[in-house]
Amino acid sequence: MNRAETRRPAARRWATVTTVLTTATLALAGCTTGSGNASAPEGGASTDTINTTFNADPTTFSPPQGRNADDYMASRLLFDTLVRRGTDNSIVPNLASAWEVTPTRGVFTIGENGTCSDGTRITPTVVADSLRNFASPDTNSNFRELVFGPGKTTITADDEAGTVTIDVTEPWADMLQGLSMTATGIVCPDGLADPKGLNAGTADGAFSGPYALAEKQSGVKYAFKLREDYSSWPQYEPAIEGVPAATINASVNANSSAVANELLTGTRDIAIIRGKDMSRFDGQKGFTAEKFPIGSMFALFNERQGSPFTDAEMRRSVAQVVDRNAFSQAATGGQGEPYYSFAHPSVPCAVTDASAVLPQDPAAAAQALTGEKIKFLGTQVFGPNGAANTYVSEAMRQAGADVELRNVDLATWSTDSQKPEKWDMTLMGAINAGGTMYGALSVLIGPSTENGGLNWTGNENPELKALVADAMAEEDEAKRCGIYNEIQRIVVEDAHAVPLGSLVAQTTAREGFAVSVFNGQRDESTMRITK
Amino acid sequence: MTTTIATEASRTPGLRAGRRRGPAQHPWVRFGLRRFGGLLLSFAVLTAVTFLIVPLIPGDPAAVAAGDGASAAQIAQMRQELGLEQPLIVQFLTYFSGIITLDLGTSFISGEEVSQVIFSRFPFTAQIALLAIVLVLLIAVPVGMGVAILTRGGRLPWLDHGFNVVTGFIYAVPQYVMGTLLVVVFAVTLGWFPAAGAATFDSLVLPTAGLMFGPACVIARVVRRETAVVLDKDYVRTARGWRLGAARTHLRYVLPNLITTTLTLSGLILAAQLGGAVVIETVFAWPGLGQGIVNAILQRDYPVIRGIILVLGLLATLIIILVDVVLAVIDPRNLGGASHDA
Repeated sequence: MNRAETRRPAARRWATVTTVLTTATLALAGCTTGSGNASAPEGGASTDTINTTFNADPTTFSPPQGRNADDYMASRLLFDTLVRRGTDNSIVPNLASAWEVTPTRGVFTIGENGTCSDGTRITPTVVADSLRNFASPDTNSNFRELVFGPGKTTITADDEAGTVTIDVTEPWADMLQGLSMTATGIVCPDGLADPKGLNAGTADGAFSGPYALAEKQSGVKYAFKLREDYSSWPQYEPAIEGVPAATINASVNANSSAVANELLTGTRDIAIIRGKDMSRFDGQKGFTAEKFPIGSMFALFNERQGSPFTDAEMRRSVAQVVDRNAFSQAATGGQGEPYYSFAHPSVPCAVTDASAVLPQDPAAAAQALTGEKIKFLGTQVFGPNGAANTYVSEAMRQAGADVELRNVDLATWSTDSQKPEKWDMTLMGAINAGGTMYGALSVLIGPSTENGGLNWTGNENPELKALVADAMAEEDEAKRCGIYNEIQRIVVEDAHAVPLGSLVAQTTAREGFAVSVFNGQRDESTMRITK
Repeated sequence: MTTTIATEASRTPGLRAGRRRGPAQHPWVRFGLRRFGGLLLSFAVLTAVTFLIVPLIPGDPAAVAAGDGASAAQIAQMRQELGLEQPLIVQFLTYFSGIITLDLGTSFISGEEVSQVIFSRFPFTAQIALLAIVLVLLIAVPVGMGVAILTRGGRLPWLDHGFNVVTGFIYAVPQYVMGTLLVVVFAVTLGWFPAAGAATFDSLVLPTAGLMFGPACVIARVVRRETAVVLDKDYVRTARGWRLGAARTHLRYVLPNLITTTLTLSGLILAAQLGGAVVIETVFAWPGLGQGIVNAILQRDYPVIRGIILVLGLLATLIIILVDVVLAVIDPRNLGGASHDA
C-alpha cells in the first residue's frame, strides 16, 4: 500500500465530518432566524402595524423609574397620565376630564372611561394610589420634585365625587404641567402589587395606556398591542388624524445611519434620526420630517471655592468668546439652533431674544481668561467625538486661557461631574423632560449635588431660589412669566449658565404614517396610520 | 530495574499497546483529559480576569444606572443596591458562586438576568458567524485549490497575480466600508435585501456577506499556498504517474492534506467572529452579542460585560477543542495534539 492510499480513510472521515457540521450549521441558522417570521416581512405599510425603533432597550417599564428617552417612549404607550401637553403649551385632558389647580392644591375629576389592561376601572382611588407611589421617598423617582416640589405631598381620593385632590405644603405652580410627564403615568393595582413585574413589563394588568406590552426580546425588539377596551384617548385640539396601529413593533437600533436606511427601504415606518443622517430626508419624497429639540446645551460652571469660576467676570468671559453659530456647527453640524436661555424655547416663559445674552467680545474676555488654568470636562456626545467641547475650549484658548479639556464618554462624565475637584466647567445637555422652567433651573439652584440636591454649580443661589419660590406661588401666569424672565436675566448676566444651542433630533415618517410633536416634545402615543 | 522495563516497553510497540496501557493511557482519554484541563484553566482565568478588569473601566456604574437628574444621594443609594460598596472579595465570592450555579447575575441597567440577555442575543451572532464560516469554507477551499492547480509550475501567471491582488484588496477593505457598500448597493439602491435588523430570513444575507469576505480571502490564500506545496509531494506525483483522474487525485490525495491548516484557521476565525462581529452588527443593526457588549461597556453594566466575555471566552475555547476533536477523528496522529492544546 503506498502512502497516498493510507489517506483514504481519513478522506472519508473528513467528508463525513464536513457534511455533519454543514448540515448542523444550516439547521441552526434556519431554526434561529428572525423569530420565525420569514414569510411575513416586517416592513411595508401594513394597514394595522407601525414599525418603529428604540434607540436602546428600555431600562424599565415602571414610569416613576424612567431614566431615558426610550423609557419615556415605552411609558407613553403603556401608561396614561392625568393630563397631556397639547399644541401651544396647552394642557389637555387624558385620564382627568377636568381640573382646578392652585399653587398649593390640585383637584382632578377622573373620567369614567379609563380602564386598566386587566379590565379594572381606573377610579380616583386607583389614581391616588399610583400618584402616592410616585411621590413616595421609597420609590426614589428622580422626577418627584419637578412635579410636586420640595414640600410634603398629600393625595386623597373621593370615589363618590370622582375626584383626586393633591395638596402640597410648598406652593408649586408646575404641578399641572408636571402631571403630564411620563413619570407620573398611572400604574394600575396589578403593577403596584408587583413592583418587580412592573419594572420588567411582565405585570400584565399594570397598564393604563392605549397599549400593552405583548413581546419583549432584549436587544432585539418589543411589540405593543392596542388594547381593545381602551377609550380614554387624550383630548387633543385639533384632533389627531389617522388611526392608531393595532400593533407597534419597535426594534432596537442605536445606529442612526442604519435607522435611516431602514426608513428609506421601507422596513421602518416612523423613527427618530439623529446627527448627519437627518439631512438624508431633506426634500425626500414620500417622507415627512420634523426636527425637535432633545436638549438644550449650555456651559455650566463649578462655582465652589477653589474654582476660577467663583468669579462672575470669569464666567462672563466664557460667554464672550463663544460664537453660537459656530458652536451649533460643531455640536450638531448646523442642524441645531442658537439658544438664548438655559431653557429651550418651548418651555413656558422661556426667553427667545438674542439681545438677552452677552455679546461676543473676545478682546474683553481675554483680560479675564489670559493665563487662567481651567479644567474642562466634556462629554463626547456633543458633536462628533465631542466637537462642541473642542470648539469652546479652543475659543477660550484663543483668549489666552490654559484649558485642559477632557472629552470623555457619557458614563465617565456622569461620574466625574459628581466630583467637584475634577472640573471647573462643563457643557450640559439638559433634557428637561417636564418642559418646565424649574426643570431647566434645577441644576443651578438649591442644595448642591454633594448635599443631596441637583445643583451642579455648588452655588445655592439664594436670590434665584427666592425668585423661584415667588414664581411657584404666583397664580397669575403673566406675572409668573415676569418673574421667570427676571430669573433668566440674572442667570445670563451673572453667567451662572451660558446658553449655547439646541441638541436636535428628527422624527421621520414614511408616507401613510404620522406622529405628533407638541411644544418640542414627541408624543409616541400619537403615532398613527394615516392612509 | 524499573528503568530497564520502561526502556524495553518504550522500544516494543506490543508492550506499549498491550501490557502497559490502562484506560487512563488510552490516547482519546489522555486527549480528553488534556483538553478538559485546558478548559478548566481557561474558565479560571476568564473568571478572574473578567472580574478584575471590568471595574478598571473609568466611570461609576451607579451614576449611569441612577439616570439623568439623579442626585449624589440617589447615586449613593444605587451603589448600595448594586452591591458596589461591598469589599472586593465579597463581590468576587458572590460572582463566583453565582457562576458555578449558572447564575450570571442581573443587569445593573435593566434588572434583567444576564443569562437572558445572552440567550436573547447569542442566536443572532451564532447565525451569521456559523453561516459565514461555512460559506467561507465552501467558497475559499475550492477557489484556493483551483488557483493552485491551474497555476502549478508557473502556468497562467496572470491568474496567480490576479488572485493575489483581488484577495489582498478585498481583505484590506475595512469591514465597516464593506458593510456600508453592501447596504448602499443591495439594500438602498437595488432593494434586494433589508438594510438592517433581523426581522426576516433574508436579513441574514448582507451581514453574513460582510462577515465572510475577509476570512474567505485569508483562507483562499492559505489553501492556495498549501495546495501548491502538496502538489509537489512525491505521493501526488505517484498518483499522477498511475494516471488517476485529476479529480480523484485532488480530492483524495490533495484535499485531505489541507485539512489541518484550514480547519485550525477556520476555528480561530469562527472564535474571533463570535466575539468580534461588532462592526458588522453595528452597520446592520444586527442584535448580536457584539452590540450587546458595546452597549454594556458604554453603560458600565458590569454583570453583562462579565457574562458576555465569559461566555464568549468559553465558546472560543470549546470551538478550538472541537476543531482538535475533528482533526483527531480525521487523522488519529493529531491525538498527540501538542500544537493545539486548548
